[in-house]
Formats: sequence, structure tokens, C-alpha cells
Amino acid sequence: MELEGLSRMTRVEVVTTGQDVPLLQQVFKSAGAVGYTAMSSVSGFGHHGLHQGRLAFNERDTQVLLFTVLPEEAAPALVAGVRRWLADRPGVMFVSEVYVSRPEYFRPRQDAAPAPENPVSCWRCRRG
Amino acid sequence: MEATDLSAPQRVAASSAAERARLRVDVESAARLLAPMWPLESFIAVNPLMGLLELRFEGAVREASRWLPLTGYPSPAFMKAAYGEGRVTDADLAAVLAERHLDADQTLPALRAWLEHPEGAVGPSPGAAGELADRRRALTTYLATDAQLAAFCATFADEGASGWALGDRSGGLYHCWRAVAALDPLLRCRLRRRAARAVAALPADPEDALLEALVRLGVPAEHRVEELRRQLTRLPGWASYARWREEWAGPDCTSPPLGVLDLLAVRMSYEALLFDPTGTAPGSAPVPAEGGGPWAGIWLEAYERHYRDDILGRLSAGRGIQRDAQPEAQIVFCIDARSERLRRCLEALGPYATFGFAGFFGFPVAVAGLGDRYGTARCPVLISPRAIVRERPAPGRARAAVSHLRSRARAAAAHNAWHVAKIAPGAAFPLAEALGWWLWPAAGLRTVWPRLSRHSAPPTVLDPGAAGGLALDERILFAENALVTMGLVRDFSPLVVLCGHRGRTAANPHASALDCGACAGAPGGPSARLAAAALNEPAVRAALVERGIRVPDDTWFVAAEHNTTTDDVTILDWHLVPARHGARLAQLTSDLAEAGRRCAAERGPSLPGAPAVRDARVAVAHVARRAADWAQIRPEWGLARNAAFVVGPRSLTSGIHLEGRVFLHSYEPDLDPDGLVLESILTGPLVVAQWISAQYYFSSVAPEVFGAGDKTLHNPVGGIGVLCGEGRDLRVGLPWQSVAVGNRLYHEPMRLLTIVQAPLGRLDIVIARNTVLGQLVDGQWLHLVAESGDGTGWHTRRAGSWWPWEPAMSCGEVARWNWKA
Repeated sequence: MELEGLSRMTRVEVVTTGQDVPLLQQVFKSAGAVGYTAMSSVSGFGHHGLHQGRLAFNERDTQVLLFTVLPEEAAPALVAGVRRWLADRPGVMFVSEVYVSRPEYFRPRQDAAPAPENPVSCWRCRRG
Repeated sequence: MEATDLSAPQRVAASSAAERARLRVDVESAARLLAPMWPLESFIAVNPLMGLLELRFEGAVREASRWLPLTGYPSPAFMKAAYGEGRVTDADLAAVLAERHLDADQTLPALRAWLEHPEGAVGPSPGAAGELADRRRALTTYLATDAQLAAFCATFADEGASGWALGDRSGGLYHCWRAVAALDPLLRCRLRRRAARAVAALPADPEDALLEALVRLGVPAEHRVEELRRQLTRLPGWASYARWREEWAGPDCTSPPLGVLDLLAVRMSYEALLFDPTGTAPGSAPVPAEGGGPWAGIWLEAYERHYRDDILGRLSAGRGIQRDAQPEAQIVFCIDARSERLRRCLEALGPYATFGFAGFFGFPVAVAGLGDRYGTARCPVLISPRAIVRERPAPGRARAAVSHLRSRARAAAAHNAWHVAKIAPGAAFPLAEALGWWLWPAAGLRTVWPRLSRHSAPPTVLDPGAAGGLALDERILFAENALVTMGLVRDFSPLVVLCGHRGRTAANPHASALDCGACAGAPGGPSARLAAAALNEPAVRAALVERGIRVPDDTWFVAAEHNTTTDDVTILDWHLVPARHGARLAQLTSDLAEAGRRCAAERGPSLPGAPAVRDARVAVAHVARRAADWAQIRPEWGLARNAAFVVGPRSLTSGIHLEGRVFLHSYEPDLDPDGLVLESILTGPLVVAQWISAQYYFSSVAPEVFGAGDKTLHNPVGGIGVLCGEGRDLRVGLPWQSVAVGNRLYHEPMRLLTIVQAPLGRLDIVIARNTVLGQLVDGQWLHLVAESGDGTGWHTRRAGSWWPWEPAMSCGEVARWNWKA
């Protein structure tokens, strides 16, 4: 399928638990993905039975849907990393073809600015 | 042994992205053996084997003992003493054997014999047995590598404690090390003139460096995870800290970025540079290990069963105590086991109703103290703060607040100047000579200063709805969740007190371990203050009415803080309490003080060195002295001897002496037909309590691996952890003095007994839809007992099914076993 003016890329979606998100962020980064989207507290039913969605006092043990879009040539690296991760853990991965209007958003930028400081999550710093 | 030539053709010049991605996963798989270690400022008790939760308890212990020198079970000597004292009996053992379908006649003698001649006591130790003799030279290099890497980690991770800080650390440990490795004394000693060239040839990226080292050392792909795990277990403390920094600290944490992959890259680069690639380096190679063996598991289960039968017997006998009269005040305490004593003592003094709820009172926020730039999380580490709430001066007290901040800044400047002079090269000795004799008044002042500082701050307010704080919808949601979860939705008293808790000790690196775990290892007072403020807000109350919770207009929520070291309770924000509640609050304050005195008298005798006189005044004076004594290694027992977690209405436990060993979480089954509240409790507070229980357990049974060692030998490092004496590695877990007196354990090592009053079917549903609960319960990381409240009695959950509770055998049956033996 060809869509005029759009660029073909690859979308990788992973459903995992909240505690594996830091690892997958690193895998995404190592494979060359420049960003991702996370949907926390997703519920569902599957190979391991029912999975509860939102929990009031625990974000680490809920299901999270992570997805990223990256150039086709970078996708095999990410798929290889996630497949290694899935070898001994529960979770699922979906890989699909997508079309985007601004492909530069999904390629590494050389002039990327550092993320702004967020004092809330810096809870170590008690001295103020 | 030849050093590796780094210009060899097998060098990995630029690893592919796929290899890097796979490597990331392998590193994480290797690191799962080790739990994250929180820094000292916010010490959080964790299950040291939390990464192996998908295994059953026995399997996880067995796996850990392949890599670390531990058995994972109470020692035969401990069990022998317990057996001699009747703390575990033949009846308990026989009951466990019956559950396992083992013949008691044959097995009991073997179990007793195990006490005298244990087998499979210890797993591998670093460089064990003949390997040491055969590879002495290699081992020397290996140990030198450990020492060098540990010293570099301490320098890298330092947060201002050292006088001469490392340069730019933002690139991570590997980048930092590679920049200075040419001057590394170990490399210069072994490689001599080739050192600089070898270091310059190392890849710039840590992932490439680690991949290259793995190739050079000839590690096959199928053994990569094992090799990485072997490397990490050489310095498990630093690896555990790296896990925290990488996975739990958050992306904006300002601590130097020490990562697990960086740690491995440095360590394996050392090996690639120094070791013969054709040989096997000495170390804790995995070996088949039995942990403590099957007998240790049976003894542990019998020991736990004895306690289970005891407490269920007491709960069954003591139930039905319920007050009919409307209480004068309702006091919500943290679920912390130390609250149990205070609740019981307070209820005995007057018409008070108490509740148990996680000490952040359901408001997941960070709090920035007066004048602080950054906020500190005040919620369990399982959830993230939703907003930052800033402490502000009370109306009309701005000038006093400014004055207070100025004097605090002056004190901080003086402290910094003293610290700099103390550690500056050349200044330390003259300083000690010149000022040493004049410091004793300062030492005296330091002893009383904690008391003075508590009264020096001006009145402030913590408004959760202020700019940057929680939106109204969030305040309403959290307020509703809190009240429903604790079962307080009707019959409100004029006063409802939310009582957080903290420990107050002096010169104690592990002080935050005595604070509130539900507040991320911080004092619980601020959480109580902001929750009370939200629940007193008219807009929140109006919205609660729409949700079926009508808080009377004359009800006022008051914040308080329980000092667990002295057992005194401080009412916070007195200036906000309406005058009409003054007399009632004064009476409550008086009763809280008396309850605290009784509490101190009750627990005082358990503290080593406490006066033998069982008098409340003497006990109060003694615990106060301990708290201010900066030479005291055991200011309080903390959560030692914690044993059970009860989820149910207070009527289940009211009036029963639970010895400060039980986490109490309020729960009203009738208010929760769909089980959502129960699910919140079991997936949040229960998980945290299991971490605490497991931390105490493993610090007791494996103090060399999962304990912080002797407090008298502690050397704090960079504000993040402690070393023991000249030890290289950070010590994880609790100090020995937190779980033992001398050589004798004070803590009773058991898996957490969880007691729930709820329909069994509801529990089944909640467990089935939450993987973590299935792992904890059916993997035997804890024991679950429940009763539906329909008269069918207690049921224990075993192998995914419910079985009616049966206490261990009668005395006659026990005698039969003894006679046969």
C-alpha cells in the first residue's frame, strides 16, 4: 500500500508490566528509537489469564502498553532485543507497518536539547 | 598470564544496534538476582530476592545460593534453640510433614538429626576451595580489581561527602573511568608502559566496551547471562545501588548516574585487560546448591506454623469486642506494626476508635519543606508522586518564617565550613588539636538540640490545593479513596486524627529505616498534614456528599505524628484547629501521652540495657535518653519481630495483645462488594509489608550477604550507603543490631503471615487477576489465611486451594511422637 506524501515506517508495540518499563526504555534507546508512548494501567485477558488494569497503590505491577515508531532499517534491532526479553518473561510484542506524515520526528536528531529539569521526581534531594 | 593485546583482530569495532539491544536485556536478566538498594537518606526495606519472584520461595533461595554464599533459611543452631524452648514442636513438624505427605515416623528423627549435623549449609563463596590455591595469582588480580572498582564507584557516586570531587560525571561511570584509567594504579602496575595505549584503545561507548570484553574473554552467547551475573556478584552492594539509580531514582535525579551496564563495562574491561582470555577467572562460579536443604524448609514452615496457630487461636478467642458508643475521637494510624501497641493502649484509656491505613493517607505527592527548592516523595515507592506540595508560612507569620530560614542558612553555612575544614588536606589534624578540647559543650548541646529544634520553626501550612499541587478533582478522588479504603464512611466523630509516624535518633546513618515506609522512608507528619487539610476543605466535603460520604460540619481532621523511638505523639497544626475542639483535643492529647507512656513501659524491657524496673516514668525517661544518645546503636527495635499483616475491621483484633508484631490494615468487607478496595490493599500495602518482612528475614538468616553488618564498624560512603570497616562493597539490608543482640537473634525469621477477613471467593478473584499476588501467595513468599465471616472459620491457602485451619496436634498426639522418637 502506498499513500501519497506519507512515509512508511515500523511500529513496535509491547505489553509488559510497569516494572519492566525502565529496561524496555533502554532497549528502545539502544536500538535507535528516539521516543515512545506509554499507556499505563491497561487491562486484558490472555495467555496468563486476566490482568487487572488500574491499581490504586501500585503502578509497578500493572500492565503497560509501550509503542514506538522507528525507521524500517532500525526495527530489526529493536525486535531482536524485545525477542530476547520475551524469551523468559510474560508479555507480547506486535510489529506492524505504519505511515507517518513527518518522518523526521522518528529519526535521531543531532541537535536534540536535554530534557527540562523536573523537581518533582527528584525526590532524593531533600536539602533543597 | 598475558595481558590482552587490544589491537587484536577480533575486536568489535562498532557493535550493531541489535547486539546492543540484546546486551541490554542480558544485563537486566543478570541483575535480577539483586534487589535495588535505596540510599541512606530514604532507606526502603525490600525483598532481597524480589527479582526472582516468578520462582517459588524455595526455588528462589536455591537460585540465589548458586551465586551468593547463603543458605536462605534459619540456621540449625537457631532452630535447635527454638526447639529446645518449645517455640517449634514435634506437633508443628508432624503437621508440616502430613501436609507434604511424608511419613512422620521416619522423617522426624532425620529432622532432629539435621539440627546436629546439617548438610548443604553454604553455597559457593568467592574463590572457594582448591581454586584459591591453584590460581592464587589470578585471584590476587581479581581481588585487586574488586578493590579498585569499588573505590572508583565510591568516588563516582559521592554526593558531596568528599573534599575532592571527581570531575564531570554526567556521562556515566564508564566514560568517567575511561577518562582517567590511564592513571589507574592497578593497570599501570600490571601493564606498565602499555597501559595508556590499552586504555586509549577501549571503545568509547560502554555497550561496545562490554560486548568487546565478552568477545575477548571468550564468553559464548549461551553463557553470557551467567557470566554477567558472576561479575555482578563480585560487588553485589554496588550493583544493587546501581539498580536503584537506574530503575527507581527517576530520570531527573541529580545523583551521579551509576548504571549496571556501566559497572559491568568497567569491570569486564579490567578483566579483558588483565586476564588471560583463554583461562577462567576465579570467582563465584555457579555450582549446584541446595540452599539450606529440604530439612531447613520443613523446620522453617513448622516454626511459622507455630506462630500461625498461636495468633489464630488468640484472634478466635478474643473476637467480638466492639464498642457500641460513638467514640470521642477516631484516630487513623499507619499500618506500621509499631502502631499496634499505641492503638491498644489508647483504646484502653477512653472512647476512642482507631483505624489502620498506609501512612501517606492516600495522597501520593512530593512535599517541599519551608524554603526547600525540591520536593521529597511522600508515598510508597510503588507509585509516583502526582504533584509537589510546598510548605508555606502560616498567615501573618511570613516574617518569622524568613527569620527562621535565615538562621537555618547560617547554621548550614557554619556546618559546611566545619565539614570542609575537617576533610581538607592539611587542616584535619590542626583542627582537632586546636578545637578538640573546646568541643565538649557542643557535644552536650547536640544531645539536647533535637528537642530544641522541634520548637524553633514557625507555624506553617501545607495546602495540597496550592499552586503546583493537586487539582480539586484529584483531592476529591484521593480523599474518597482514603476514607473508603480505611472503612471510615459514616459515624464520624467530632475529631478525626490522622497520625503519621517517624523515628528520632541521633548520629544514625540508618535513621530513615525507622521512618515511614509508606512515605518512601520519610517522616509521616507532612502526609498527615496535607491529607487533613484536604479533608477539611469545604469543596472536597461537598463533593464527598455527592459520592455518599457525608462528613458532619462539626467534624475536624487533625494531623499528628507518632515518634516511635520515644512513643510520644505530637499534634501538628494546632493553630488550624477550631476553638470549639480545644477541650476535646486537649483531653485526647493527654490520653495519647499516657498511652505513649504505657507503650514505652511495655516495650522498654525488650531493649538491651533498659532498667529492670517496670515503671512507666522510668521507661519514658529511658527511651527518651536512648533517642538523644548519639552513641546508641539500638535506639529502638524498629520493626524487628514483625510477623503478620491483618486486613479486616478492628473488631477482629481489638483488645488482643499482638506485641507490636502485626501490621494492621482496616478493611470493611461489607463496603467492598466488588473487591476493589481489597485489591488495592493486597497489591499495595501488602506488597510493601512483604518487602519489609523479607528484608528482616534475610538480614537475619543471611547477615553476611543481605545484612549491613556491625553498626560499630560502619563507615558511611558518600551519603548513599555504608561500608563495614575496610570492606570494599556497600552493605545492603539491615545492621546486625537491628535484628539481634550479641549472637542471638531478636527477630524471629518467618515469612509474612497474612490474615484477611473477606469472602474466600473474592480473594480468589483478586489473586487471579493480579500476577504479583499469585506469585506471592502461591509461590509461598507469604502465608495467607482468611475467613469469610460467615461462621465457617479460618481457612489457609495452599497450592491454590483453601483448607480449613487445623491447629497442630493435641498434647497426647505430641507425646506419641516424642515417645516414638
